[in-house]
Amino acid sequence: MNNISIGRYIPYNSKIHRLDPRLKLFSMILFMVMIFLRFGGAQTNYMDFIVYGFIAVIILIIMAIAHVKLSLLFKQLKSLWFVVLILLIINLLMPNDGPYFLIFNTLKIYHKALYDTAYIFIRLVLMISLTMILTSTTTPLDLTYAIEWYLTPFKIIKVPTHEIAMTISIALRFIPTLLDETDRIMKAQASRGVDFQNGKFREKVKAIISLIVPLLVSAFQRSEELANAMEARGYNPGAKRTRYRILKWKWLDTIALVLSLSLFALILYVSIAKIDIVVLISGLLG
Amino acid sequence: MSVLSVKNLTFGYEKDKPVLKNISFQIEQGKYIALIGHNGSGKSTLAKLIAGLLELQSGTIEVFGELLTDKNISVLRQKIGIVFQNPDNQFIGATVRDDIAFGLENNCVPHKEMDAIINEFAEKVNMTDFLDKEPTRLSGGQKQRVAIAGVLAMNPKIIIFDEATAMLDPKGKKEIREYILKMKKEDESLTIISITHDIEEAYNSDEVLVLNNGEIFLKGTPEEVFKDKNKLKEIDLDLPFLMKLKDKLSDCDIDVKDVKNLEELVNKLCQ
Repeated sequence: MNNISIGRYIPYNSKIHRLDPRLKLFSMILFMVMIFLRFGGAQTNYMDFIVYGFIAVIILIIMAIAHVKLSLLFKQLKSLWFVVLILLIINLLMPNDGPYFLIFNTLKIYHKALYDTAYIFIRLVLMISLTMILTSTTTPLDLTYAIEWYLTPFKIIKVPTHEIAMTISIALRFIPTLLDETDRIMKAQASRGVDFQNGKFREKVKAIISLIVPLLVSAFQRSEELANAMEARGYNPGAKRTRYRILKWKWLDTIALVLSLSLFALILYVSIAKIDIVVLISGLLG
Repeated sequence: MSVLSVKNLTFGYEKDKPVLKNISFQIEQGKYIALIGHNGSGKSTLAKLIAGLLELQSGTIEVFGELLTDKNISVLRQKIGIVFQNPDNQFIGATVRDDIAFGLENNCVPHKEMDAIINEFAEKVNMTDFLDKEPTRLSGGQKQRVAIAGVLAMNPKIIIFDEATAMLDPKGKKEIREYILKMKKEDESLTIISITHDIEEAYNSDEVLVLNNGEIFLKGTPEEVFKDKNKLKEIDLDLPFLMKLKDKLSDCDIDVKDVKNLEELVNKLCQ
């Protein structure tokens, strides 16, 4: 239960950690858009990989500054091999044309199938590393504040942004508590003879139900007590309240914003103008 | 001056099943009140009604001479703090700092003043070193200390402890008890209502209220209440250790009637 490393905050006092969460969220979205662009001409496909390599280098630099360990990324990627396998099988089964090579003189493996698999895989890896940088350098609470800030305009159309943010932050606060509880209930049920590991599908479902029902009951009890505690301390969702945590924009944030925007502009230009680096360089040389 | 006066309070979660039956009492400022009684006797319900967490059905509650109504509930609530039993379910912030700040945010304390207040009250409960820790990294006793700091930071006049030590280990229990006594010493005007199963704690309070089946069974100073041992036995409540010891000694014809605490008893016996 304790090996959930995806999206876990890793305390460290790096420059990336200190950046404004609003900026980090915005930059991550910019990077995501960059990854989803297509590059180069219709016939050549190496441009995609060149640009992805370029983005990967930048991500690696950010990871180095943020002191996010590569091993952590690999740990998360480990669970991805299954996805890659399925992707490969699907791509191999897709009807294709173009160059291919033969295995056992019967099975056609198209180059394009391998290319497509690699293409999707690289995009996945890049996106996972981006979200990992964001979540491991930003506390969940800061992220909530950032989301609340972006939602502020929607207050005009009566979206309860503050309540949404409060709900998210309480949910985040109770994840470890509920995980502990799950662990406790599993042990309690196991001591009463419930087997969570073995058995037929039906037996497993039964075992899971014996976990979920008490977990839900206790979660509802908790929520009632929590509501009482919040009310007793004067919480009133509609009323005006001051804030303890205030997001502060610093000069470092401006620099980071300019950097990510210019990178975005560059990549966008490369994509829209269909620039082919190989053609470009050979043109310059010749 | 009476800070809290409850008159003819009747309350039930279901119709025709009253949890509290026609309860009336008054509490003077600066007193340490122990509210004892068996599970289901209505202690926690009474606390929730006083704190304005449940809606009154019949009867009235006056806080500092003001009648508790729907309109002034948010104002009067600032005067009453309540520490609940479960340390986990009253920890609202992501860290100790945020949790103490939660009440301040609700009371619209300006941002600039918050840090000073947080540090002050964290120091009072000895949690300064843990300000940036998440609740999962704290023990039950530490979480309860944070809860106390969070309540104290709001500067209440009455603090209710709803079995605040029931889920703690003996060390945590002792700690919390010490903090309660310490803050009582620092602010004489603070009124404390402690809902407890701990007979010793009740014996050391200023006034004891015994609830049974939703009615006030006994009320008075600890000496008065625990003197009536046959009446307490009637509802299966235990006697404090000192009382039991004194009884046994009296049976052996040793005169210890005037003894007030354990120390005096020891001295007397050693003579």
